[in-house]
Amino acid sequence: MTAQAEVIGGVGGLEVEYDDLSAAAHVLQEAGLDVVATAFDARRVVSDAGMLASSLLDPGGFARAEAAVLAAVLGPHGLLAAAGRLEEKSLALRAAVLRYIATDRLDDGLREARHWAEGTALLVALPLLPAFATTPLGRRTVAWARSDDANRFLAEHPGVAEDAAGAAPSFVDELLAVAGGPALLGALVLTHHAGPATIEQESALLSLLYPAGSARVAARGRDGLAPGAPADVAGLLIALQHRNDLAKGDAQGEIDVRRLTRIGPAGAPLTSWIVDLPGTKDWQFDPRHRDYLNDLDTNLTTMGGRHSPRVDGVTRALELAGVGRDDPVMLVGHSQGGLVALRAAEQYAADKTFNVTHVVTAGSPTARMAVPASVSVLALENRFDVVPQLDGHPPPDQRNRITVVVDAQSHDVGRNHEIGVTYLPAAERVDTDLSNPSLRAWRDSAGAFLMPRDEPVSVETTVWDIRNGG
Amino acid sequence: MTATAVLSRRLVLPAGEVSALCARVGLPPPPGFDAEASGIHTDGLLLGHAVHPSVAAGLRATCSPRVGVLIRSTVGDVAAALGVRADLGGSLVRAGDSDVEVAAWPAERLGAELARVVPSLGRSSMPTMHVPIGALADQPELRAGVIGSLHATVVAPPSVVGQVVWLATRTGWLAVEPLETRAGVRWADVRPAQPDEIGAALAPLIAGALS
Repeated sequence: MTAQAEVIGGVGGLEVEYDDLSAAAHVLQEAGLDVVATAFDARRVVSDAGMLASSLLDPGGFARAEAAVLAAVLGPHGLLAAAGRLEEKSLALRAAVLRYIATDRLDDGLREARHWAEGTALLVALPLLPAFATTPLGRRTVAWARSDDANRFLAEHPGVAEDAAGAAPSFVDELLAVAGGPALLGALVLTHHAGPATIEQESALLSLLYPAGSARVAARGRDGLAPGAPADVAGLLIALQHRNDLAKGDAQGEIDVRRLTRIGPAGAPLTSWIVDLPGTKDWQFDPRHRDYLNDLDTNLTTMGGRHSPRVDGVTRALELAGVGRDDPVMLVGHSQGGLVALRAAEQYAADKTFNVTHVVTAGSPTARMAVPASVSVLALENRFDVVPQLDGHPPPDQRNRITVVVDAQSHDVGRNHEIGVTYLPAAERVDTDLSNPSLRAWRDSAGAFLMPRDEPVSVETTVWDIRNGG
Repeated sequence: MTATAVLSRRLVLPAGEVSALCARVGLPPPPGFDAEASGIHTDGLLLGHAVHPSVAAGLRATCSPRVGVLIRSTVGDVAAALGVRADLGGSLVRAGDSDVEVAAWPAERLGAELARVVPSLGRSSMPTMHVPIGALADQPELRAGVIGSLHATVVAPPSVVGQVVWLATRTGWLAVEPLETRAGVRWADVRPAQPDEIGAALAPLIAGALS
C-alpha cells in the first residue's frame, strides 16, 4: 500500500503557477504591442525571447500565445485588430492571475484564522476547561480578573510594566521608532506573511470580500403577538427585544413596522410609525452564501456615508408598509440595528423620503456618526459594553443627541451588550428619572410614539424580510 | 452587578517563551504567534509549575476569546491578536521578529487597544475617493501611493466574522469602506484614517459578533 502525500511548494507550488501565468500574461501583452509596432514582421513576435522562455515554464500558454499571434498575422482580421485582442487577452489573463492570487491568499489567511478559531472553540467546549474555574489556579485566575488585589502581582514583580491610567504608549510605534521611524517605514514593508501587497491584489481581494448586493424585501404578514403601543422607553426596548428574539435562522433579516393610530384633538386620525431594527443574527462571511442583508458585510456599509443595501431594504419596507412622507417615524435599533437606524435617518433627512423625527439606539457605537438637525436621538450605552466604546469618542454634547451611559457590569462581554440584561434596565432607569431636563424634553418631544397607557390606540405590526437579491 | 477595577498590565517576552506559556496553559497560540516554544525563564511567570494566574487570564482572553481580532500590517510587519472574554481583554503584539508584548486589560478598552497596534503613519492629505472596488488599482493616486495594507479579521470562535482592509501610504492610512451596489458594481469610499479609528471601523463586525 502506498501512502498518500501532500506536496506543498516547489516547482509545482502555486507561487510558481502564478509566476507562469503572470509571465504568460506579460508576454501576451508585449506580443500585442509588438504586433502593432512591427506589423510587417510577425515572426519576430513568436520568436520573442520572453515567449520562448515562457514555453519552458508554461508550454500550453506559449502554444496558445503563439497560435494567437500567428492567427493575428495570418488571419482575416488584420494585425491591428489581432493586437487589440492580444492586449485584451493579456489583461484578462492578468486579471485572472490577480483573482487567483487574491482568492488563494484570502483563503489562506482565512483558513489560518478559521483553523485557529475552530480550534480554540473546541478547546472551550472541552469539559476540562469549565472545571478549570473550580481548581485553585482557576479560582485565583477568576479572582485576579475581578479583584483590585491583582495589583499585588505588580508589587511582587516590579519589572512588569503597567499602565494604570490606560495611557501606555504604543508598543508598535516604539518599536518602529527604534527602527528609524516613519521615514524608514518603506523599508519595513514586508509582504510575504501579511497578505496582498499591491493595489491590484488588494482590489481583487476586496472584490471577493464585498461582492455586489442589493435588497429584496418581502412581506411576512402581521405579528399579532407584538407588544402594543409603548408608554415609555422601556416599552420601546421590549418591542425591540420581541423582534430581536424572533429574528433568527431564516427570519434573521426581518424587521417590523408598527403603525400607531389614534384620534387627534380635532377628531381626525393621527398616524405615526415605529420601526424595530434588530442587530446581526448570523454571519455570512463567505460571499457565495450571503443571503441576508443584516450580515457583517452590510454592517460595514452602515458606517459609511452613502446608500447601503440594508438601508435600501428598510426604505422599501417602509414604502410597502404605507408610511407617508410626512408621517412621524421613530427608528429603534440595537447594536448594528442602531447604526442602520442612524444611517437611514441621515439619508431620509437628506432626500426627504420619510420624516424620521426620533431614533433610539441601544449598544451602538454612534458617537462618530452624524445626526441630522431634524432628528432627536436617544442613545443608551453601557460603560462596560465593548461595542459602544469601540469608536473611541466620548458621546458628543449636542442638543438633539442624548446619550445615557449606565454602569452595568455582568462580567461577560455578551451579557453586557444584551437588550434584556443590560439595555432594558437602562431604559427603565431613563423612565424613572423625572428630574433630568434633557430626558424630560426628549420624552415630551416623543409624544407621537409614547402613548399614555389609558389612551386608545390602534396598533398594527407588520413584519418585513430583507435579504440579498443579488 | 458591581463595578470592577481591572487594570491594564503588560509584559514583553521572547516569542518562544510566549509559545511555552500558551502550551503550558493549554491554549493554541493565534496565527502569527506560533514560534517554537522555549524554556520559561522570565522571573515571576510561573507559580510552581503553573503559569501565574494573571498571565494565564490574559492569555485565555487572547487565545480563547469570545470575540477576537487578528491584525496583520505589512507596514512594520506587525502581527497582533486581541481578544475579549468575560470582562477581561488580552493581546499579543509583535513587529517583525521583535519580542512579543503580552497584555491584559479591561474588556471595554478593546477600542483603545486596537488603536495601539496600528502603526502611526500620519494623516494622508488624499481626498476621499468614491470608486468601484474592482477599480481601485485604476486610480493613479492609489497605484502610485499605496505601499502596504492592514487586514483586521474579526473572529468569534468557531466562526470567522469579517475583515476590514486599510491601505497604507507613506503619509497615512486609507480606510476602504464598502458601500452601495450600482448596476451590479460594488462601490467603496477610500478615505484617510487614523489609528484611533480602527475600533470604529471594526465596530459593526464586533457588534455583530456579540449580538
